[in-house]
Amino acid sequence: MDFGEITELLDLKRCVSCGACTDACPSARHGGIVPDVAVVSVIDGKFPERIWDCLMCHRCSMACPQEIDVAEMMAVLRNVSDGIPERYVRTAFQVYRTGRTVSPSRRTASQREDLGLSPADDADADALRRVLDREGWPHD
Amino acid sequence: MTDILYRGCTVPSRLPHIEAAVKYVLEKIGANVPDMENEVCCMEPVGLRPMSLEAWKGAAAIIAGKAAGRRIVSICDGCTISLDSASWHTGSEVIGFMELLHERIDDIRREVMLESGLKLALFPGCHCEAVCERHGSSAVGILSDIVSAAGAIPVRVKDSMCCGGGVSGVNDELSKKIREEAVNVFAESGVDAVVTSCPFCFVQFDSVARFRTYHVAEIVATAMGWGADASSYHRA
Repeated sequence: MDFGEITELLDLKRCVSCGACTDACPSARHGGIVPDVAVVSVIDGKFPERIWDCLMCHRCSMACPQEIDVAEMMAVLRNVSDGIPERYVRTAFQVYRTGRTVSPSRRTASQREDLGLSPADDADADALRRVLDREGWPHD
Repeated sequence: MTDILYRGCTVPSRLPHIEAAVKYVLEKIGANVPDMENEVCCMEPVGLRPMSLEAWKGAAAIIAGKAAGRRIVSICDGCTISLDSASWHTGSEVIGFMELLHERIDDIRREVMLESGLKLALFPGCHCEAVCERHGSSAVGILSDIVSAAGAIPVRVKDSMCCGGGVSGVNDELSKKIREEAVNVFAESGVDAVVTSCPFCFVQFDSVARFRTYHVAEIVATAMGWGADASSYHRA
């Protein structure tokens, strides 16, 4: 997907550069991504800076008076980005192996018993792997 | 409509006290919400969903198949927003556990036996707020009602804050600044603790920042007489 398609898909040209998304953005307040600048970058055909500093908190989308889903723009940009942070790659491998982002440890098993919970069951990892294989999901 | 409980990955494996509190409350209010069996990851919304939007839809379809027409009640707010966002594709109805609590607030009032009087900063969590807004309600308002019903004192704090968990492990310096903004606001407000609906906010504030934090299920369960010792799951 190119920038023109992203602009059209999310109707980014509705942006009036009011800055409401940036005012609401916890990342922008602390030197991270600046959402209104990112929207203009995409409209102008340029890849925005610091997309991985987005918290995906959706406060930008909630604040936008033009109802632009800025958070979804960030998700699409991450989707077409080459540089996926190592943290997410490791989690992706784990999900491929087990069907979940984390698995219960031996300690968890004893904690669950103490709390009166049944043992944690396994994920239906085979069903998920069929989906992930179809989509070229990374795995180790 | 009948309900089914989607617990997600983190709560059963890392925060089982939250699952125990949720189940205690469900039993007390007479809500029949059985566990979804062999559930798979929702493809969490921050890192995994953007990797493949088609894989995310596929995972949501597996989960919807397991729900078999029942409404999905999700404990984890990251899962809630991921599954709710996919609902146009799957046709599943999805709500967060906190929304269910609010639906049953009269049952909560009936079952509360211990009023703690704790002053609690209201921090539903970003994803909870976004989902509630989609569903036409206010997460802070809902949480305030629940905290009051459970005999504690809700304290509203600054809007548009975040726990910083979304960039944890990616930009830790930024994550810390965002987390500290919230923790400083909590401290300055003079509360006894913060209450959240989100397991990730719980970890960021309790385990990382060492600020006294409770999941909303713990607050309600304790007010109903839950006797489990959850102290080992708290670091603050």
